[in-house]
Amino acid sequence: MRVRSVPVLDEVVRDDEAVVLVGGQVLRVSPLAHSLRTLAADWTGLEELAAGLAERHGAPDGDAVELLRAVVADLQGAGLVETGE
Amino acid sequence: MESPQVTGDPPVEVAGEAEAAVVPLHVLDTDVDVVVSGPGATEFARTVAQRWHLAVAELAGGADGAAAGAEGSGSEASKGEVASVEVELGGTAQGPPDGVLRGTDERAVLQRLTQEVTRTAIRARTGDLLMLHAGALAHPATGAAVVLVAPGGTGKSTACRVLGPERAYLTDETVGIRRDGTIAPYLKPISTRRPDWGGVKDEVAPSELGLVAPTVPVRPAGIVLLRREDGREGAPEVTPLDTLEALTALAPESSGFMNTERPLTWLAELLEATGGAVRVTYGGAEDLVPLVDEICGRLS
Repeated sequence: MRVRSVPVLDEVVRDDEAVVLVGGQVLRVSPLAHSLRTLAADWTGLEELAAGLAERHGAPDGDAVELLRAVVADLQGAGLVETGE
Repeated sequence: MESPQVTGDPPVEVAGEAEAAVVPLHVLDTDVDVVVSGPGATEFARTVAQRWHLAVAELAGGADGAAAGAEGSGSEASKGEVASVEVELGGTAQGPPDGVLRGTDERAVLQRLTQEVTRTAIRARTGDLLMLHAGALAHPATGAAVVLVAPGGTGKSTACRVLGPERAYLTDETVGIRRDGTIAPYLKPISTRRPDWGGVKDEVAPSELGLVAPTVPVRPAGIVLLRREDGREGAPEVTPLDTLEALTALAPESSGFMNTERPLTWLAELLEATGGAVRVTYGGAEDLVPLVDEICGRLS
């Protein structure tokens, strides 16, 4: 699976967190999700993303790629990223 | 059509031979003609002009000029276009959805007229103004304004009624902030809920409550999210919000936000230029006096 950030209409970033305007909604984006969106500015594989996030936020307990898959699903549901093969 | 001026105060234009009258309003940098027809149109128009006296075009032009003209802005937003709201007296309230307000109950028609003027002005100014569901009052000399954000029916009008005398009144409904940082007044009547009116609000002329229009340019000096708790006693609880918290709290209390260019950035810059927003939990509007005094006392 590859991941790419969806462009937003507006974004305000403060201290590694963000608020974005996307799909007619105003959403607060956590530091982890903001990092993910930054790292996935272009199509990026899950393994590469997991490594980048671990570098910024520390390694998670458990399978980083599987955990990331769940995060990506949430962000995709919110319209913040898109996925492809 | 010729529109001879009826003498007397407030100004109302009578249009044509059938009974009809026009009240020209200037609200949120927008010219809105209230066009009234049907039996009693002239008298109803006089009532509208009396309740909306601070917003009647020729008078409101002066207020707007004071609020923005000193910096050479504000009036450009009008773009020479005139919107209108039509009222047909004597018609059935359940008319076709043609945008015409119909009815025979003066109080109910006045309330619906206020709602329609608000919708019309917001529609016209979407993209031009950053609009928040808020009341606003300003220091009469410095123009430093407190913006009191709250959903409908949760304290804006009461706060303006209680805290407005001795300050300049800007609106109890929608604060429109221009790109240059000044506020476009929306000098509407104060909408007051009366327990014996079955849900219909009384549209009270600002002058009856001792409220006056600003005479100097007005800018936000502080943004307050109101959270009224009936029965609460003691000092209000004031909680500062960081920029991101304030953005997520204020965005739902905005109008035309999604159709405004980079509204989050605009609002964030406003918040940070005014020291950020606070959320205040309080019981009665009089409890807000120290906070409102502090904000209106800031140098703008």
